[in-house]
Amino acid sequence: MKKYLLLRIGSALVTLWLMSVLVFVSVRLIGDPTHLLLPPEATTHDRDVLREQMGLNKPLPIQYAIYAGNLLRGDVGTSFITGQSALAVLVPRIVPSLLLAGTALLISLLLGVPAGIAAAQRPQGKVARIADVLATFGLAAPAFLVALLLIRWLSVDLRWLPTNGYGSLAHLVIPALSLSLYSTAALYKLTQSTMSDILRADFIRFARIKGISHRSVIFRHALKSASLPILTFSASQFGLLIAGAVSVEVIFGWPGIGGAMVDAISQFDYTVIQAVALVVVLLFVLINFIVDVLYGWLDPRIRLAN
Amino acid sequence: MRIDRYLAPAFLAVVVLGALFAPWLPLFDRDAIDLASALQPPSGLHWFGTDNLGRDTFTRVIYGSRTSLSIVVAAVVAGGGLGCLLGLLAGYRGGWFDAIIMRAADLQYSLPPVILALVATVALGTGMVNLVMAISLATWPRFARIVRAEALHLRQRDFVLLAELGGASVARVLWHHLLPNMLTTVMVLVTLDIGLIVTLEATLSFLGLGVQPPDPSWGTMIADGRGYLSQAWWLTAMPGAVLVLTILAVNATGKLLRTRNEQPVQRPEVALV
Amino acid sequence: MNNPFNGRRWRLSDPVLEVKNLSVEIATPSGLIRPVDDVSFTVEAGRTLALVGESGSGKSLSCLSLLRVLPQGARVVGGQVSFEGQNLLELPEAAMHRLRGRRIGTVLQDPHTSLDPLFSVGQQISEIIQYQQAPARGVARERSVEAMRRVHIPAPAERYHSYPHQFSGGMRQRAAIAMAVACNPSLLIADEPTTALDVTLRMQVLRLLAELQAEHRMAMLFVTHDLHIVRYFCDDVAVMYAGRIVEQGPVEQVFDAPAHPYTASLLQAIPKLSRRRTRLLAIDGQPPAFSALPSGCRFAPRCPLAEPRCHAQYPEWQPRAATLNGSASGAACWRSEELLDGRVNIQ
Repeated sequence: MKKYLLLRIGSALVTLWLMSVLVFVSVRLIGDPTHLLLPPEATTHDRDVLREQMGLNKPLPIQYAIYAGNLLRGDVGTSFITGQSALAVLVPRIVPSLLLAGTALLISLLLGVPAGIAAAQRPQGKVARIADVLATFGLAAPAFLVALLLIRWLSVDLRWLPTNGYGSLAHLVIPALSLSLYSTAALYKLTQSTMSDILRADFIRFARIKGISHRSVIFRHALKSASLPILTFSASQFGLLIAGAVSVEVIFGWPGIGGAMVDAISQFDYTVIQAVALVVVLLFVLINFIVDVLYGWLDPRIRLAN
Repeated sequence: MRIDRYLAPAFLAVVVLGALFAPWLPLFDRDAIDLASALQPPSGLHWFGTDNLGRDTFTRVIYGSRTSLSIVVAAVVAGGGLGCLLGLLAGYRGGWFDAIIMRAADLQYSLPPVILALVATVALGTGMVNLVMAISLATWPRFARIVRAEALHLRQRDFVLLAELGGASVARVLWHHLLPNMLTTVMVLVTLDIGLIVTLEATLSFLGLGVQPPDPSWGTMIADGRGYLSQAWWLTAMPGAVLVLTILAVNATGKLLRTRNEQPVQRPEVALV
Repeated sequence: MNNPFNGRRWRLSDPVLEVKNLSVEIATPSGLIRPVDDVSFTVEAGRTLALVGESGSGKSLSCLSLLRVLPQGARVVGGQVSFEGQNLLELPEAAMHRLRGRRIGTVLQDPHTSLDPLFSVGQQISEIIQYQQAPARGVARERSVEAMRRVHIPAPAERYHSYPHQFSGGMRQRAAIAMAVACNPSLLIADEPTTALDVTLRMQVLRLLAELQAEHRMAMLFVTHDLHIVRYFCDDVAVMYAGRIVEQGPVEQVFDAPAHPYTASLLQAIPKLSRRRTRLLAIDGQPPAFSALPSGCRFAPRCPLAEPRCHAQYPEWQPRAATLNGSASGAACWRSEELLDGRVNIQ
């Protein structure tokens, strides 16, 4: 287990480092930001002064070193637009993003997994047939479209829920629902296929004959085996949900990271863009790392590897 | 011949043909502004209704499919092509080629596609070409991974060794020997991913990072329709419906093609040295 | 309970398991096939019946159908199965479920895949005891440690918490056996329990099974294709070919004087005095596909003694002189008597 952990930590750190380089390079590719920050009448001299101030004249590797040093100290740069530290712009937006993604994932798990289990046990049954149709649809409908349609139906026509905004449970419903449709469909399909495979495995056949309750066979043995791939998949979904919520955040004015990204892009606030990319990667890597650890813990073959 | 099985490819064919032949179809003028007919619901005259400038929605949806589909196809070709090339090199050559390419692919995996594409459009700017490039960046790792695995597997086969011994250049080995044997796998991958690419394009267009007005694309139309959601639902629903149906059709067609080719295509190894 | 076969009450001296005319059908793309066709045999308390045959002969499927855990698409289409006086085929699933594990234990072939890799071995034994006997949690644990001790797993109290991947193949099979006999069943069905094991481990496992059988007078149905095991370990044998039983009887009788050419060929195929590794059954040719069975005797196409009437009509069962314990013995062969008299020989 220790070796497994160390490998994972190492991998995560390397990814983070490489990512920082990538972000650094690609943002520098945008070009000279001084054109955007100063009014058009500014003289070349003014630009030079600003470039000097921003450290843009130094050779690239030195710039990277400064940048990396700052990163390690938690300084992601200052937003040109607001003048605040980019991190200060982002930090308050992390929680709303996590809340949205978390709720969407929860919905997906609560709906998708049980449906998948039922469908695996009875492939021709009612649940399977209905769920298959819904899943096909769910995988095809982009989140932003679902969001708009739900707004029209639930908010405008039925007036049950607010159209946008952030603050109460009611505000969470439509965004989370629209975001969760794809994940629910994906989790359903994964659970169904994983459970189907497991139910055909030898050890399940043996469990059925050896003399325990049917419920034990399905929910203790089969489900536990299925939970490992479901867990890994959920983690990848969670990462996608956090970042992919961009369009949903824009529609609802949800104060999350994706929304910050889009704002920053339209304003060419490249430190914030950089910061968002880094934060997203960090979250991604963190989530994957946690899941890897959990997986290692749950599977005794890894946990107790001699 | 079961009809419902071919419904999906048929629908897809209709959409593609409509997009291809749009300029010659009896449609309204795409850009003509006619404020007197603004915001009319679907009717016999305007099948999908009109928008706030009186433009016929149906016409714009058809032209929108032109834009969206060409972006998707271009992105598949570019992203798939890049991915295949890099994957082949990584799998065949190995060594630090492999290490670098795979590291790069892993990195891209650690960034969700939308964010990646967003960052790319920042660096590249908006517009159709840049959108294609941005989407390709997000999709090449999938191709690279699978193609690399196949290349690793195939490069030990006799016909490859024979070719190498015969003095064939790297390019020739890749192009003549490895690639044809992977074609089915690549095709399968394409069918699996197209739905995602269409969604990605629509999302990015919706966020305003794709084509600029007056060129319509499904995403931009939905974005425009958003402002009129309560009064003119058809401005969102119509392009939306076509979008969803197209993705459904694409997924279903892909599945059809995959089950058709289920016999692991043991293609006679193309060993023409 | 009334014995379904003759209407009188089942007594302890009756056979534990009586199978009569069991047939199983499977739907395949090429039509319905019968991999188990009109199979009858008996197993008595304290005795072991070997079910022998090439792979695909229907022996494993017969066992699965007794337990009513047939694979998808397969169904029992005829016959009766009497277990301790109950007709298993007519039992409601809930009642059948209660029998499995408690009265009928099962050991499967591959110890590497029979156990759940995510639970400790001890837990997997405990859960059976918990479900069947509903004792307090600590008691179930003690009993499973006891069960592990019974099958000679060293240091059972510590091993309770070990996982399958930490056990060797032989120990895993012992654990599987412990699970099968945890509730002292009256019938143990063992489907090739030693085939996947090293030769050196086989004797250990067989001795263990014999021990357990003697302790509780367990009836045992032992599926195998290793004739050495049959000779040295089993009391009675039923030889299956292409879904049917072609010869049956006490092991000594059948091995000393086989009454069916197939049995004779099998016995010949093993060097009797060989001390080498046990060989699997192997004679020339292949059994017929179930979708294309010959009319007449199914072994005829491969049989060195085949005559025209063998190809024309399926042989009647030729019973042999009943032996001490009354188990049915005989063979399905037109030339059975000639074979027994020594008038013909297979070479």
